[in-house]
Amino acid sequence: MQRRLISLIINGQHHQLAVEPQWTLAQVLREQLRLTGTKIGCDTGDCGACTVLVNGKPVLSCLTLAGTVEGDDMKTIEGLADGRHLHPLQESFLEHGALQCGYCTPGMILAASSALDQSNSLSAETIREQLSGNLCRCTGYQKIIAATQAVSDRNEQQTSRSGNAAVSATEPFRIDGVEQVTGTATFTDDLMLPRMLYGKILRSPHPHARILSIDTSKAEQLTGVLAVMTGPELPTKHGILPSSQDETALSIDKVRYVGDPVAAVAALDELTAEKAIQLIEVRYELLPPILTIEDALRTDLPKIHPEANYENNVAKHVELEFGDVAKGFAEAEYVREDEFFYSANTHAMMEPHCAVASFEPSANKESYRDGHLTLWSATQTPHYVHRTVARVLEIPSSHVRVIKPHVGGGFGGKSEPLALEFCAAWLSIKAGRPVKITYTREEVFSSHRGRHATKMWVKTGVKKNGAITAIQYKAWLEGGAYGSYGVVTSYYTGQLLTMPYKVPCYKFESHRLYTNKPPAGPKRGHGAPQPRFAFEVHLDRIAEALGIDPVDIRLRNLVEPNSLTVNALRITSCGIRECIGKVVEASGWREKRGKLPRGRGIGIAASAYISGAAKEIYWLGLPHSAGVVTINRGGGVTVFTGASDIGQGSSTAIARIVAETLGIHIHNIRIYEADTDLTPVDLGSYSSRVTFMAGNAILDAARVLREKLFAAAAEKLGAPAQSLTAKDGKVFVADDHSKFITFVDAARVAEAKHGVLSAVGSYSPPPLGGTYKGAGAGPSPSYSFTAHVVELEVDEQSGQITIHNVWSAHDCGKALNPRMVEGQIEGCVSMGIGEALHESLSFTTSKGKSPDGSVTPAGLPQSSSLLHYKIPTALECPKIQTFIVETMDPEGPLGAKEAGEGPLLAVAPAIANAIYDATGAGVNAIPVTPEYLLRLLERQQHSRSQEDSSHKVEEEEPAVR
Amino acid sequence: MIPMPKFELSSPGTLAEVVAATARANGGVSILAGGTDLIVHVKHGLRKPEHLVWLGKVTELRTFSFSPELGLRIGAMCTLDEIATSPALRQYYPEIAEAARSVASPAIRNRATVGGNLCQDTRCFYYNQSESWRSALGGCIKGELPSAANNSICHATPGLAKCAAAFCSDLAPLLIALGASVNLLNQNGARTIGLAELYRDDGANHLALKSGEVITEVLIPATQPNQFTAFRKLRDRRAIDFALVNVGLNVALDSDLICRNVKIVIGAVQSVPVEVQTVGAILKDQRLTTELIHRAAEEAASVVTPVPNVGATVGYRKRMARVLVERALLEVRSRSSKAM
Repeated sequence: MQRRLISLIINGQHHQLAVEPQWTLAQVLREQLRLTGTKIGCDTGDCGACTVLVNGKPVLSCLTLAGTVEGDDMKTIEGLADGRHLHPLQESFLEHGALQCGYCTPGMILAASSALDQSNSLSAETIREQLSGNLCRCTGYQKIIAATQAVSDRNEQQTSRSGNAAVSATEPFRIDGVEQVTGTATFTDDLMLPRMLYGKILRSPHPHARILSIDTSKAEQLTGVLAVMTGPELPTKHGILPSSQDETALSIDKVRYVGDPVAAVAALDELTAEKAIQLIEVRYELLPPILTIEDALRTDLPKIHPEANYENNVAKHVELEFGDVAKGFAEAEYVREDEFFYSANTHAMMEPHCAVASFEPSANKESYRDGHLTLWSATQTPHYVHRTVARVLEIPSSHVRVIKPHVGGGFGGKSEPLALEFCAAWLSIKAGRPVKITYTREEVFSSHRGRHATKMWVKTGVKKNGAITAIQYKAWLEGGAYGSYGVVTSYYTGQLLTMPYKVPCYKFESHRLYTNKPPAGPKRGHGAPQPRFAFEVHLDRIAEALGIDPVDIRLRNLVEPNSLTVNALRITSCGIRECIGKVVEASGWREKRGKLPRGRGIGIAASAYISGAAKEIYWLGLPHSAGVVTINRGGGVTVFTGASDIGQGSSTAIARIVAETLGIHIHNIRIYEADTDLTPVDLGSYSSRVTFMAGNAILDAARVLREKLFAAAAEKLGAPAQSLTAKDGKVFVADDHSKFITFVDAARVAEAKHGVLSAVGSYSPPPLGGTYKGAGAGPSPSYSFTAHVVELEVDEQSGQITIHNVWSAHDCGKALNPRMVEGQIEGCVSMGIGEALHESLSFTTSKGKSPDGSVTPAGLPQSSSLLHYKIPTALECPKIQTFIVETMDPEGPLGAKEAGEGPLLAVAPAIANAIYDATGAGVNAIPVTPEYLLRLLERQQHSRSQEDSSHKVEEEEPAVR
Repeated sequence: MIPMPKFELSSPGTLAEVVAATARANGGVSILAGGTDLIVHVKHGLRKPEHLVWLGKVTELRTFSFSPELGLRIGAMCTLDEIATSPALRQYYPEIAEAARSVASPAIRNRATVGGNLCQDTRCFYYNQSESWRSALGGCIKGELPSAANNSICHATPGLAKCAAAFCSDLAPLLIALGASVNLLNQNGARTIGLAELYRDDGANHLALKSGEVITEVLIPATQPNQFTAFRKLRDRRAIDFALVNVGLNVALDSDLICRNVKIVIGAVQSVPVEVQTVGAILKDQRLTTELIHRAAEEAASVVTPVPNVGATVGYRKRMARVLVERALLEVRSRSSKAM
């Protein structure tokens, strides 16, 4: 097909462009015009990230052919600001903290701006409706709606009485906020290097099969293909945990799930690469797929990993007992058992995975190993990618540089090296040109590493007053095809169950199982949401049996500050009692619980979560985080930190710590982050460790510099260094503010006195945890605490649930940036609603033979799109009232601890408990689909009177799918 | 980005040019309206057009006229957003506006057209997937693949040698209930058919269009003062999602709530919108009591035969057909009481 010259009017500029007829507007904007603020989240019209305005109205540029918008007036995010002046919406988004990762932001702002242009006064409901096609996974919509509403209200006021719309210039919400709202933040897929090739990965169509042969010859001969690779070229096994090295870059002998990578190509363009992988011929010998927890426990089925330790498909078995559980149950006056099931779900971050590799060969022609590899990746863990890619590619670590550009959310789905990083790197070495691989949304689902489907049994003994005497817990975790972080998950499911309650004795057992599905791994709350759901619902049932209010049974059993749990977790700061108090009061719990009209209900749940794991993945005793702070001669401060901002705002938190310590405005601080050549080590953005650990490392460095500044300033001011303090760009005598020098002057005298002002800081957690085997999982230098109350309404005819209100209180130690903490809490509520009501990964099941003898294959993922996998939209977002509880953690940087994951855990059980209050239906499984709820309601009608103390999960409930 | 295979794109400016373009090319031609359905299909390899004929430049297809006496004529290229926000529609046919507003998301409605909505493809879990996914499945009746093993089976209903992909237009059920018809045009001339006749009960090929035929206009009869319509849609989320069940209802009610001319059409459960004739018979000339509404809804649900192909189970969608019909009838009864 011939390219045709078309003229497009974009942001007021006329462009003459030669395009092929099948090119979409998104493609032309991003690749030809380099207007990369237009993002691709799904490429099939399900997410709204690619929204642009055509004649003032939002349109999905991924579904619009460039040839069909000739002559239209188009606007992209780059055209919204007026020169240096942000559009009022962009300002409002920053002011309200209405963004995190910034990936959905351009589309969201454009959709909102169109809504504002259409009406002078928008109701919250209209805003929700107008933004309902723009998915956000980070903030949970509330702040987005508020930001839009504020501009609308301001417009309305201006039309009636011209008001002043000036935005208060306080502390910026994010240090990278302007880039995010203007679309100039560079994400990995926005990179285009000269001579860059596009890579594609061929994936297994079978859940379990032996690879007999791979023939790549036809693909290699295709014009435009520059490199092809298969598994045997990179045979080194890897795995994020030293104890589970069970993956290779590409499959070698076997494929273990539909989507397991088999071969990869690099070509001049994506279409050629796609054609090439279709030309690769793979012969398979099919093996019986293992697709359920039950099958994985059988010993008569093939092993997915023959070298694994157990005779069935158990990947890891953990059994731990703390205290005398038999005695604990003997002392109980009431004992209850329940069974629960939590479906598999996944991160669905808005930015698909992407890696760009560029290899510079050395003069030595003999070996590629002397060359240098640069790898840009949308990863949460550049350090782990760095060491693993170097090992698998057999290149010295010192010749590999990993850079993390802006990342559009992770939630755990980008926390280990994945096929695209190995493939992009190796194809770049083979082709001698840069290679980019961007996953399709379908591949993001295949890559997974999300929430383990978990079957749980829990038994608790209590005194009549509700005091817990013993807990026993068993869990079966469906791990999918590979290890990932699964060994840790196997511990977390048990180790984190008892918190936030005081338990005198506790026993748990967990099995993580291999199945022929995409590998499960860490998703926000890693291993903890499942037992939290089980235990919080179980606890409500115990309370009911004892005639105690759900709030009171929780208050009776809470852990106390500065205590040690039975499994040797050290609790320092702890605001759980205050959290519960806040949400109980704000929600009107005492007036509502059990008293709302049928169909409407209120529920509570509480939780605790780690602020980073006290043990690193490889136990070498090295610091977990480090940073360098340098004061430049002009008074600017440069921070080099390994910490990875994946949208959660860690760079802003770090800047805030430096600003506070040195007494300067955050505008004077530049952060350089997550570049393994330039920045010191950090283990990555996972387990809610960044603010605490990277924050402490930076604090360490900043304090060294402050001492130098004070020492020099003390001489100048003629006052002892201990009497000085720093604030607002000045160093002054604390009790005589007239005696000061500016920060810039202090820096100058300090540099004259001490030499160039630069300091290194690092953080290693204190020795924590017990001495038993397995004591490494669970200990954290501090824990966050959360309580949620949910009020909802059940449509008993359709089974659909409307969440009206959520009251959330979270103890984050100290909110370094309150809007960001609120955003994390609201985002957790949104994701929790998704997990509780909408989201689950489903797979085909084998069906009976059809007339011609063929059969539907089992194990094909059925929900690998943002259409079929249903994350909440703005219209599912309830009213959320957040309370930040500050307990000033003694070891946290400026008192801070985590806020990014903990608030997720208790959302689903609070919803389940509210459903019970509304209808009397006892939820045993997540998600609560309308059909499941209707079944529960029916069963309740039939047998309400015969209820016994032990609820069993009924066979027809969503078993492992 | 998902690369699309190469194709030609032409943008005729008149209906005559459209007809010439579709007549000239043979099998490889696809009509492109808003593209919100078709482009996804092309990206998934479900459609492999050689030539797209885009209708966006044809002003004759963007006509919109209304008179209380003659009813409504909507050009096929009017967007769903235009329908949803049209003052005339909101006044005289608010339920059509509501049905249009229930489609997908605002950005899709700004591009998606009335004609495209009526012609959009049927859907199935086993079909609306990527090409690699479907080759792993081994094909199916609708999703035939070269030399695939399963090209003659329906995975949603094993044993049936017929594709049962679900009809998914949100406009069609209500428009059929309103007695709408469509004007069609190809090189052999124009014709008008009842909207219901546009569809046939075959998920793999559900449009009864002749070669090269395009919808040019939708005709909706004038409404009578005693006429009440309702639209209901059940879906998982309140936006983006396709219907699990939708219902269009049109009933004339006498002042004492006696039903005349009842039409109830249920969509999204089978490959065609289902007009539940027997319900009409139950309601006709009867007073719309709660008991009768209940019985009519039961009957409606018993007639439809959903297939497990778009999400919720068969039993649930059947049950919800009952709930939606019941709610639609209750709604018109309540509105009629207020009106009188």
